[in-house]
Amino acid sequence: MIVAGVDIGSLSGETVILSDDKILSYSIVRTGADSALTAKKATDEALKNADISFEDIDYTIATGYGRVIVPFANENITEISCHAKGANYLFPTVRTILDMGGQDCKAIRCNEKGKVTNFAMNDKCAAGTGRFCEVMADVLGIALEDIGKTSLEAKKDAMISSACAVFAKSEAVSLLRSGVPKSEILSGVHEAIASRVFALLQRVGIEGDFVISGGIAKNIGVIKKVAEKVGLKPLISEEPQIVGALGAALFAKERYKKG
Amino acid sequence: MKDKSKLIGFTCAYTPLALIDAAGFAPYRILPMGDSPDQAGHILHENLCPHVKRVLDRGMQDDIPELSGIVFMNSCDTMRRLNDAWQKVRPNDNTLLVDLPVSNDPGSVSFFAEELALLTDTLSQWSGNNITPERIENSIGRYNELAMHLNELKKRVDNGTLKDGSLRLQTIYNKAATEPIKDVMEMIKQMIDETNELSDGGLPVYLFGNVLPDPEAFVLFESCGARIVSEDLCTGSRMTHSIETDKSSDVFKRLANGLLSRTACARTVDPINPGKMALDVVERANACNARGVIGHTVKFCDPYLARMPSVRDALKKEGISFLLLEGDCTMRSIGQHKTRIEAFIEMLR
Repeated sequence: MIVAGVDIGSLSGETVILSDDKILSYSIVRTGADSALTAKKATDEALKNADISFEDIDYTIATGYGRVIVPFANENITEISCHAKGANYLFPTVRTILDMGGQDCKAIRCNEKGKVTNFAMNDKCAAGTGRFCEVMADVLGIALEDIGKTSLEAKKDAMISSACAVFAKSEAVSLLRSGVPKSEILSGVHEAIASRVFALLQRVGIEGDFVISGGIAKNIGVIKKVAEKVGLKPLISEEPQIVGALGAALFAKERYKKG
Repeated sequence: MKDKSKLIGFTCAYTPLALIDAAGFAPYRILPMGDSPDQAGHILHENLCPHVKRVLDRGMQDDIPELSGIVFMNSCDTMRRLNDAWQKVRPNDNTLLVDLPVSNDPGSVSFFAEELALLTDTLSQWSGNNITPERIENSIGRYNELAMHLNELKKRVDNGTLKDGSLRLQTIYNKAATEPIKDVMEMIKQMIDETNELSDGGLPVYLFGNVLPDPEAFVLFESCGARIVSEDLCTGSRMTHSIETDKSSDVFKRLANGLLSRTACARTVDPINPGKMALDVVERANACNARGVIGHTVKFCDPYLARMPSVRDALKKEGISFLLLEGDCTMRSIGQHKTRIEAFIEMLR
């Protein structure tokens, strides 16, 4: 049995292909204006990596904000359920998940089977999201993948008082012009993000083990700040961006078996 | 409307519709709907109740029928600001702000009864009609009949025996708030008489909150796998309620008592039991065998938002899952809400 999970987020699209319980392949592509095309691109790439064809896939489940417009999906399930499922597969002891995606941030509680028991999402706000990090990287002229490492060089945090991405950008520009080192600004930005997501986690309650998924999990600066606030060492998978797609693929396996 | 000049605008479910009817007017609720551009921010702060802002948008855009006057209830700070702003943007409209007590103790009922008597005098001036006690009693009877029919219809929707029940019920609530009572009662009777048709599955959910008039919102709930088995919204079932008809007691006191004793908006408190709202939510959720509860409030509504933590705690104690949604009286947040509602239903299944 070969199944696929397709996660179409606001910044990236991922496909995971499972053969029974084993991950055959995965792909991560940048989301374009057309979600259906992104889904196809991601899936084509994953198929190529697995050296199989589209016809080999028995069942597909789509998730993420673009889940309703994946033309070849058999069903769609929210990314909240899928992240819990995927995190549970990777870390069976997980009870709290923080998914830091491109457009939003979700705190999820789950049971030992990976079923969601509670969740909270940030509202119409980019703070604590991948988009926020992108904006900051752009303002400071640092590559997105380097902002985490750069922030660790800071001797102290610059004060970023606003949790709003738009205002924080203005604050970062002012700090930059007044000669504050980029590392300190980034460390302050990461502190602001961590405060925001910590509040979200407290709404659902934090219980170990604690997993962080989503693209921001690759930012060591944010992870360090979040870990300090939560007081738990977060578990992070080798590729945290595919947790949602993996969960979708696991659901696909279950649904296909059920018939 | 057939005779637009005979309309009195209103914006709050505490408005005594029977008095407006007794004056020879038809009540017209200015619902926060439509396509009027966002202009209220020119006068009011941007971070203010979207209900009030959307109503003001309609007034500023002249997106309302011709009114003989408008009655505002002094139900919260923002409603008072709406009254102020309305006079600024529509200086030629007759307006009246009616004070509304925050509780239903005997002193508050007496005070509110006096306010209703003053409202009656004003309506009498606006209409040129003498509003006799007999006319008021007749109007109370008409509105009691409407409440009874709406309640019957609601039961059918709650039981899941009316096709597209919650969508159609909300459409009827909106009509009851804006169209002649006689026409609406006819529509309700026809719906009640429709043959039973069991609605498709859906997880039973109890919905409470304040302003949610858009029938599309109910389509959204159902498309996400929820079946609203009971609701308590100020644009829904809270809008009509029976008033005592015992003619031996003062009619204004009966009206005041009826309005203040019905299911309360979060702005009204029971001084003896301030946490009553949370207990009421639990009781109603249990009564309709809901698997989960969705609270829907407009953004920046402090009375509701302040009570949500106690509602959450009370539901948690009972083991009932709770989802809080904050809206802006438009369907613009539909994508974000869809994910939350779907995830909530997936969690409950």
